[in-house]
Amino acid sequence: MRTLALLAATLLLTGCPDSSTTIDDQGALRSDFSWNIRAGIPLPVEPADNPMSEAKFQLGRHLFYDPRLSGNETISCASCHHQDKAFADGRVAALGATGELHPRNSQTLVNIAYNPTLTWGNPSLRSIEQQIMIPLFGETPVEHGLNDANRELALNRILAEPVYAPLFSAAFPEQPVSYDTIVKALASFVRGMTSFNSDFDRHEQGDSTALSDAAKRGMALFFSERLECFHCHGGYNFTDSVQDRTMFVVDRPFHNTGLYNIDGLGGYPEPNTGVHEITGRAGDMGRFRAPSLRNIAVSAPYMHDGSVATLDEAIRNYAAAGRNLSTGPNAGDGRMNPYKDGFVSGFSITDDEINDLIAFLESLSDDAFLNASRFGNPWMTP
Amino acid sequence: VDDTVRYLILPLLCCSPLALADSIPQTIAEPQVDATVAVTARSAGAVGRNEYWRIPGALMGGHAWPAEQGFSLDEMSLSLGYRIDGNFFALAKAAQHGSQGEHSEVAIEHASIGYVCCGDETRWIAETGRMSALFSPSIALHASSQVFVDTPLIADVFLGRHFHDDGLRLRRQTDHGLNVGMELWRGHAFPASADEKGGAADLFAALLHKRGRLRLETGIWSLLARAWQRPDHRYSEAHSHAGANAEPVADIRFTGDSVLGGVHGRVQWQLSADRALALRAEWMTVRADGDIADATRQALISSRYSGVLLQPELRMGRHLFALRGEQLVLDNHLTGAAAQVLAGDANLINDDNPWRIGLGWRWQWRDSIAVRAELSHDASTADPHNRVALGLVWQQALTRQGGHGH
Repeated sequence: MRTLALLAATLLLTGCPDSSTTIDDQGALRSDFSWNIRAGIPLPVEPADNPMSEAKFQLGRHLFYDPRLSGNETISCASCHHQDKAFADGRVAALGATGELHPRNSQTLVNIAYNPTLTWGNPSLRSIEQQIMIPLFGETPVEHGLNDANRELALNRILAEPVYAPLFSAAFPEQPVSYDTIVKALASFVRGMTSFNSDFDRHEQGDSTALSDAAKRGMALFFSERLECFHCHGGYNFTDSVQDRTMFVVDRPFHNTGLYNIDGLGGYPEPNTGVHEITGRAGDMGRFRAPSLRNIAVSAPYMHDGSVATLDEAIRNYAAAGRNLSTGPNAGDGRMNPYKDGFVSGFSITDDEINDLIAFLESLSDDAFLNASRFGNPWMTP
Repeated sequence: VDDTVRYLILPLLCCSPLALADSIPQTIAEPQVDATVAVTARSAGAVGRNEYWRIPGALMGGHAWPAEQGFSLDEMSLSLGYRIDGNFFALAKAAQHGSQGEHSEVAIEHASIGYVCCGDETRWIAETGRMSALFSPSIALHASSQVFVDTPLIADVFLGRHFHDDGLRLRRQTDHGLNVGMELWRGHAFPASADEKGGAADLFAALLHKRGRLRLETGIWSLLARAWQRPDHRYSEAHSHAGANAEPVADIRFTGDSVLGGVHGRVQWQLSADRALALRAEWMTVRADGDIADATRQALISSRYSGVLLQPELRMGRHLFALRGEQLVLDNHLTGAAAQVLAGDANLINDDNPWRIGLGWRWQWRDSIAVRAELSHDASTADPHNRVALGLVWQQALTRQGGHGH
């Protein structure tokens, strides 16, 4: 009987065809550009009028680090976007070419190819090409300081640099050098800055030793319903504001995190009122885009105005369901902000758990990205 | 007609399917009350703590919760059967399955009324209300009445373990052992969904044939289930069972039609008055076509699943020994820009056949108390492991008649 049963079971388990999963992605994973994205992550959308190419990427890299692309030749894009800080600048607020302070904290340039909106709180700014025009030509505040008076001069400086001629002709054959091609090249460079090579990514790909025990505990906390972090900072890019070529619906969420409440009615300090600046609607007060948390450990200070110095402070603000400022010009109890996101509801957390959570956030740092010569300054002599 | 069905169906079934249990109380105006408690201690769970039980390659759901390491309450139920008069009867059952999470809540599994009529040898039976489906023994029979502690894989993966739903059943039953019928369902039970675009219906036929020492139970069935944005209810937003610190499972929803079919059987040879050999077998197939989607992505999916269970048994007095082998074959084809991402998120990437083999023993120590033990090797997930389970089952007829066997 036993032998018969074993024989029957053996036949049962060996006589069937193997399971299989076949996939026809209809070309969604094909691109002429080498995105350097790990398996399982979808490719970003490439604009139809500016498809990615390595030539554009390399031209954009030169332009990104070139201060000649500013009114007074004092700053380049890289002045406020440092590679070792994930292309943030470590300052509370960025400094423009004329010394004017930007009201907002410089954002990282990590995987922004996946951003459905650009900057901190503008739902209508949906392409990198659009966004780049703001620092180049913006007046409130002045960043690069290009204007009608000096734009031709700056363009001539670019034309006069012999390095650029072959780069432009490779990137934009038979097209004249113009701000259109300059912007497209810059957009291609920052669009091509992808970061998916952190310890967390190695863990996701099956390396059980990639994360420390503390980081694993922190990951469990991060993805728990108790802390709620993942609702706004979930997904492969650790933000709920994401777009890729596999999506048929693109959400463009913004959140009020209870950082301020200067008038008791939910007000944020001018001019930093978030989406409210664009729409004028009270309900949009203090709503900002949740940034990606990739490389977050190297991009302090935090929040749209750089008013939170450390990850520890940021976590404690969320644990308290917002920030209560008892003194200063922006005093007010953000915890009571009526426009605060429902997920910022507070939680209890111990000091050890905060350390674990920070260990997990540190595991999102991608050293290869932070040190890659591919993203580095091409004008520097080794 | 009976002979025709008997001789047409039997040759179709390579294995021997089971006849389905009758749940109609017989004695008028005397309530039949039964209670069941089944507890089990396991050396390991189907998955680790803070992990979700999702067999690679299959879209699961329903009530297919994973076996839990340590002590667990597998079933606690109270059943009531009442024969109102010569024609009408009513059935009710409240049950709790599991001791952790939301599925530890008591649920009304049966609340139905039935009508029997017309004839001594041949009966028509109509039932409506909340009922368990009768088409497959793997879902019609609860774990507490089985040798093995764990529900068959085919029932867990293809039918969500339990099939309780609001519906209507019409069947014809003869004294020759034939039981044929159809069931219409609202769609609360996996793999359907309960909305205006969901619902399910099934047809079944079963036959019990006895001749000398031979007892043969066979059956065949087919189920059509329609689903509209069906989540994995086990782990959807309001039903997280993997612990507060678990990384949330992607909310992938299926919309489409599933056509399931199965044959089942059990052949028993009575060796002596207290010894019998039996072989139970069941085969199921699933054809599901539709799409899977999350909040922002969508891909077409065409799934072809099949699964088989083979279970030789030896009964010696109050002891029942069984060996159970199970295997699934899961084929999926996904189309669309999001196919790769959704296949990964839904855990559909799979090139191996999930399988499980187990050795079970059930000892009916007293009429109402049984002890059971199970040693199994579970290779249904990417982490194959051995599991030992030891369980106790108490099944008591609380009234004099008892035992209507819902």
